[in-house]
Amino acid sequence: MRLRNVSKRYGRRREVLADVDLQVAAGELLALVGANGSGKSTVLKLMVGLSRPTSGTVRRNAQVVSYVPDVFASHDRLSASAYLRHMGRIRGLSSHAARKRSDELLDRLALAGGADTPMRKLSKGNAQKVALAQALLEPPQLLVLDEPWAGLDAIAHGTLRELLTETANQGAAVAFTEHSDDTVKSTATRVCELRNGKLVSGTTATLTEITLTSGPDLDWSQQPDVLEVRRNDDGVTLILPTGSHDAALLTALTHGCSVTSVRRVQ
Amino acid sequence: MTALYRYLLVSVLLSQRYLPPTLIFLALMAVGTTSDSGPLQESYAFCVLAMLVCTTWLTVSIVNHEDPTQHQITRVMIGSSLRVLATTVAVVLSWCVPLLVIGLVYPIVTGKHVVTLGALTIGGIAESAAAMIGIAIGLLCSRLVIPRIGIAMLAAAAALLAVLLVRWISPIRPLMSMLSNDSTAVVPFTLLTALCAAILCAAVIATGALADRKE
Repeated sequence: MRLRNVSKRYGRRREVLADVDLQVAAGELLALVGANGSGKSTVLKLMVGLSRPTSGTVRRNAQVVSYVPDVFASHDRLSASAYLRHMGRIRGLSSHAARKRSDELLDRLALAGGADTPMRKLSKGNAQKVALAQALLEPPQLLVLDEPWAGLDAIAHGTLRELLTETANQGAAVAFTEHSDDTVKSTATRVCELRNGKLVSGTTATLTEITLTSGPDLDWSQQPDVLEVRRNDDGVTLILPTGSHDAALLTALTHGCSVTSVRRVQ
Repeated sequence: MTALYRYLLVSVLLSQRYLPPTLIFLALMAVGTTSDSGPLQESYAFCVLAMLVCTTWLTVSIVNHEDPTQHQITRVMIGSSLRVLATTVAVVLSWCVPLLVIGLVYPIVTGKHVVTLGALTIGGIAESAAAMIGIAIGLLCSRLVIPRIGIAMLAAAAALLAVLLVRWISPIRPLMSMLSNDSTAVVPFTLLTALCAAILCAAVIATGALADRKE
């Protein structure tokens, strides 16, 4: 996914984006940050093809593109489960596969009231969960989310972070906007800041150091996203991008290792 | 595309947004054709008028039914706004089928007419043509093109008046004149209907282009 020298102007109004050059690679979790009106949502809409640039080019190689808008309010009388089944079928899944996948996602996101709740009766947070589920019905190659944490409870926050990390690990390019610094730091592998429609910085996200006691012999260097492995008498220290640490911790715990410390190092 | 068609059809069915234009169509039929006598085609001229107004309303209702954010999701899933719009038009056309049947059968059941296959064919063709022009006007007055509902209503009313009063602005006025004059020549009716289909295709493309341009 690449935006090259992209500018965007609505009618005769001022430019909302100016000369934005941005690339999102497969497996990357890109966070777009910036103040309200800085052009973050416009960049996301350009990425998924909902908007066209006034100048510049947008190149998209992904076949399966998923989008989660900032506000998802459906007035449908359809139940959440029926809605997701329809969305799955539009994606090309069979009815059975769509039902299975939607049940799995709604279960994981813990939709309050159950999957049979009509869409129009869902609260903002629960509607957001359904919006997230529709985006993940088929593993996307490009996943774009506009403030996906808005309205979600604390448990769903963690689940969404896991889902995004898993999606990126499956090879998808993931881009999202978010205002919370902590959420960005714990999820993104790269952060780009927009200010008045201009890309002012693109930084690599923080790294996390995990220290484990010695456990069963596990070749950590072969584990995904592990950047550095340091062994000493007490155990092993791993360095990996923040956002991928949850998966590493899970691997460690399931293999019987004990976690001594987890800290951000950059 | 079939899956999207099914989703939109079910969504519209559950929303019941089709009810007001359908009920108005039935009311117009009752007022305009009940106990009618004389040539059947003259009654069908009134049905064409009712069909035009009700399909415009029906189209605006169905196109505006989909929430804008859901519309964005669907567009990203399908990958083409024109394909989504074409599917929406297919849903509207499906809802027009019962109206067409009612528009053909009601004057026969409630009036005193000599029923001929020719009159039925011409009535069917003319009402289909009116439905297509109604859908074209409805698309161009939907939220995709005119976001403010008040302006959209005024625009739709102006377009309907223009279509009915200005002779060569659309095939509707010539169609109604031919029906009122009890014309039985199928060929001109068919040609005018083909023209209506072309106008509908042009409206779909124009609506898609205008909606995309706003983004």
